[in-house]
Amino acid sequence: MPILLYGLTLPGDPRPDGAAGVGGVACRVLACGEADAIVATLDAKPAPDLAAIRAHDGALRAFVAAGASVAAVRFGQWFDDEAGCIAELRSRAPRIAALLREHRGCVEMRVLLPVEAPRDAPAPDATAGPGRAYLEALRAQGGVAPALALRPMLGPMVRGERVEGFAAPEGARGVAFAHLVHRDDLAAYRQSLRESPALAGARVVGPLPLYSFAEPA
Amino acid sequence: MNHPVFDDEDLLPEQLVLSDLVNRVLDKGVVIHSFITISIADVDLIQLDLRLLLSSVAAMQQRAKRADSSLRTDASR
Repeated sequence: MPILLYGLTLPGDPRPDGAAGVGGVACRVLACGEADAIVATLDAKPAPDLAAIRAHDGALRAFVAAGASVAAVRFGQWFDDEAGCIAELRSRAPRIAALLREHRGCVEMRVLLPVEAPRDAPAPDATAGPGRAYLEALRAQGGVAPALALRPMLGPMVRGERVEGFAAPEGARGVAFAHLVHRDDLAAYRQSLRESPALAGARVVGPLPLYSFAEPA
Repeated sequence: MNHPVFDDEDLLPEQLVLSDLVNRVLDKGVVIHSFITISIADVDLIQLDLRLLLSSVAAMQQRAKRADSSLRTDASR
């Protein structure tokens, strides 16, 4: 039966009492050398519907809530059996474990801002990814891009920042600021966001596993 | 001055949060397989936002182009 891979964590990190993933199936941990894989056995390969996407994220957030350092794996990666999963991950585990150790204690926070699309913005480059195309369109308007970094305003408690534009249904657009923040700094981080007039109406999502920081920049 | 910054736990489902959720789960994180197969077996995703799906496909194509370009560069050395 297919083994769905959710993420990777460090051996010895705290584990949740229970974490249900896609289809309500309980997740478990597989030892893969320097890293542990968060997996679940499914009856069939999952379809990428909204329930499955929520479940994928929810399972990983349960591990984060328990105090684990977690790197998310992109949705939809499955193996035929446990042996195949372990064999594939053993060679990758040292690099991922090193990244998790480097960011131990950190979580990803995301600040979401709705943005009105410029009326006379140039057409985005059709070959570019969604984030790059959108940011290039913003830059073309002049003077907008420099404001797209929150890290200078929030200070050293933000250990890393990635800025990504994305499209939402019905023509809405948003900018997501992915921040790498240590758990000990979360209260101060939230307070700083509340005190920033520029972020009125922002949505803050987290603590999350490392999504944008799961791979080196 | 404090203003409300909404935690996602407090929110009803809304476009921005939902779109970011779909974007990050489908397009962020560690890639273990060289190829990810996302079969479109459920039309719900398409109804949710076709552009998000197309964006994810475009992003994958862009990554594939970069990988191909990198391979060519290596081969020419």
